[in-house]
Amino acid sequence: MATLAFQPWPLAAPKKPALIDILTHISLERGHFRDITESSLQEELAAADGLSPSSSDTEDDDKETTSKPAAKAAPSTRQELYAVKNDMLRQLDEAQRQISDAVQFMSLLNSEHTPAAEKSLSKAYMGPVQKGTLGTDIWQRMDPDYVREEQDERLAQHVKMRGLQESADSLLGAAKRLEANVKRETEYWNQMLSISERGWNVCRVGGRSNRLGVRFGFSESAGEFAGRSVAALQTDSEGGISLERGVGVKPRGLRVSVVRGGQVVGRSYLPSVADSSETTLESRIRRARDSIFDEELHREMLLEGRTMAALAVRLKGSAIEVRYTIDPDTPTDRVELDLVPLSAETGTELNPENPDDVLAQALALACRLLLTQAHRNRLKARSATPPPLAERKVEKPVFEILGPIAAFLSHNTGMQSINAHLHETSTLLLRASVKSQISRAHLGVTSEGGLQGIDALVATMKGTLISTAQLVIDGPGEQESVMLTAKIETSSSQKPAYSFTIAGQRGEQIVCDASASARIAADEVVAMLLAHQLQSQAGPSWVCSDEEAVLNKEADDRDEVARSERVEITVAKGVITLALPDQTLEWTVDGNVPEIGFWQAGVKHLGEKPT
Amino acid sequence: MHEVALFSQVAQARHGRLLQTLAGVIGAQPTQYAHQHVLVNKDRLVHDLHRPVDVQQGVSTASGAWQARIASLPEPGSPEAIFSQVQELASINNSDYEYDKVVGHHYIDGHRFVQGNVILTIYRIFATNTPLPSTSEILLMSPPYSASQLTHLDPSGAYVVEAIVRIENGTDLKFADLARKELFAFCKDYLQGVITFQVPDRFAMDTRVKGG
Repeated sequence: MATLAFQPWPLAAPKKPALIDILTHISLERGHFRDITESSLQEELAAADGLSPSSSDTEDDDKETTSKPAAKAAPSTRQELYAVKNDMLRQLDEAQRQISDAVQFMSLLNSEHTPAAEKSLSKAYMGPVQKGTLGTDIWQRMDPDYVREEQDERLAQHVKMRGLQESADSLLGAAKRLEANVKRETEYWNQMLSISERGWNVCRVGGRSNRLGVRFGFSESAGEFAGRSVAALQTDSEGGISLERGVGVKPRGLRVSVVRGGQVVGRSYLPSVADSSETTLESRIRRARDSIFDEELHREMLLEGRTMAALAVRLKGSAIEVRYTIDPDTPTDRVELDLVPLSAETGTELNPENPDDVLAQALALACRLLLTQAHRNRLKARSATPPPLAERKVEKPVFEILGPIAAFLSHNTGMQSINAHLHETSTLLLRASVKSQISRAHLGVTSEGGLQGIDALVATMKGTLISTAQLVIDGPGEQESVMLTAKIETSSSQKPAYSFTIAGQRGEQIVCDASASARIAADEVVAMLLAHQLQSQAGPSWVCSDEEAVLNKEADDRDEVARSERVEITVAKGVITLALPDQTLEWTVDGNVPEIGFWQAGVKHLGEKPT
Repeated sequence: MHEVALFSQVAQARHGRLLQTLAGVIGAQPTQYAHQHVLVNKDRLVHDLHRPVDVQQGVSTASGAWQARIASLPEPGSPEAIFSQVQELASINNSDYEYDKVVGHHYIDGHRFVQGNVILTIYRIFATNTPLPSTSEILLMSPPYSASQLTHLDPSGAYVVEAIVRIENGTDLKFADLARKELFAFCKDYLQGVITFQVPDRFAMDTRVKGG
């Protein structure tokens, strides 16, 4: 700048022009800063003042000039152009960053001394760092302290190693946690699969949550049991699954006991449950289901039992007592159905030798079967087309479980009593040399309407139970035999519930509703049959009365002894009595019997029928 | 009696899934519902004579007796559901309908669900490709058509969904309200997202109506 200007001496110190003005001035004059290097400025100076440029600069200059032509080869393809452009931008970015780093650093350094330096500190860059936190000291050039440096080096290494170790530890810790997680999840899903593969319905519980639960109840349960049919599955820290609290903890079962004479003589099967925590999840769920089934069964039977007091069903505490029969004969014989908590002590095993055990077990199974059938009926009713809405009172139908059971018990007793009686009668007749055969009454499964299997069984149970016993008495000689039929009918739904029908050969029927009167009626009919048989064997003019077991001989003119004779036959209380006009013959089972048999005695007196 | 009804449509691809969803939601399996319908014009009303059938490829058999359903025009003033008076006869004398003009003959095959008082029927309509006889006598007497004589009414195979609640005495406001409430609670709230029920436009296909 060798231009001279004559200017008046400044009176005040000239305001230094702002840096930005100087820079603008320079760029206007010389172009961009890019082109200005120290060496070019020196050159100018040298050219203006004749000073030789410094030697060191020339070397840099040479290097630069030689490297420059290499860099000046223009990029030929568009690709290269873009590559070069990107390179340039990158380098610019880098340069800018470095410059701003330098500015920030210098400002921070200076901020301690010069408050004005704060202005160039950018908050975003150095925000948390306060001003004046960087200090400088001017140290004299010191000899390298190798010991110190080594120590520093070692310290640095230590710190680095510690850092690496810590990260290694945290990675290991994460790996361990992951492994534990994986193990827990595997355990959980294994258990979950084990129950869902066995057919249990696993579903979401609680709507919005992702808790899983298992449905072990029955879809057609009503009332309180409908809400208890799902149990949430809780996991513990090991991933094991347990049923939520309160489910399956106190399982209960239905036990049927047969009581005779005040003593319990037969019991149905109850599993004895070991400690509940020992068993697998699946068996616990199964136990919960069995328990809820038996509880519902008991509840339905209680409801039904309340309406059945007329049929000798009593409720004693939680136990339902069903009398064997309405007869007052055996007041202490009954069947008790009770809900019993399952535990190790109350478990009972079946003794197949004991017929009462078998009966109790059969009744327990029958109850459960009837409940399942009731569920099925409810489902069918629910799926049927509903009647149009109208003012109709909907009554909740009570399940028919106890009814068929009580009916069966009555029927069983009735059959047994009739069979026993016919057997006795047959023995008695044998003592009187009268042959007879019995066919006992029994109950079979009827399969009308094409039903099979369980459907037929249940239909039989719910309908009227009918059994027939027969006593066939052989007549004397080649006479045809006559037959006595005893029919027992028991119905669980209709009135009268219970009836015996005794019928003789000629179709006359006597209907009774108690086994005692049935026995008496049977005896009467046997007597009548014997009378009829005798009459067919007897001589002329003997007439048998239709109403009673009496044979009358009308007074006959031709006869010398003109008087009517009467022969009466009675069968009662284990004695057959043949009351002839001149003598009375009696046959009993235990006592002495006349030498002569019944037929012979009768025929002898009544005379042979003319052939 | 009266019926409150809502309708919807389901594409064939969704049908299986829909049946499964409904079975799960209602808690019961669907029952088969296949009926033959003969529409007969009598006393200015259309009588719908129908009977349950078992349509097979070879020989179809009727599995029940003819029943009649006489539906009057839907009552106006009910934009949310179709409310119409219906009379149903459980059995008919064939002689009553012998000389009446046959106006339609189609078959319906589908499933039925029942939830409370709502009857849900999902079915497809099959048309016959033979011309209609003039009187119903022949149709009432002869066995139902076999599957080979039937074609889909809707070639896309879509199913119609019908939800109905029946009321014994429709003039009784209490029950009409109850029925509507139950129907909407089931169709619009409970099944929301599964099926969208709507009231179909009765005049959409009727050529006598402007714009139809």
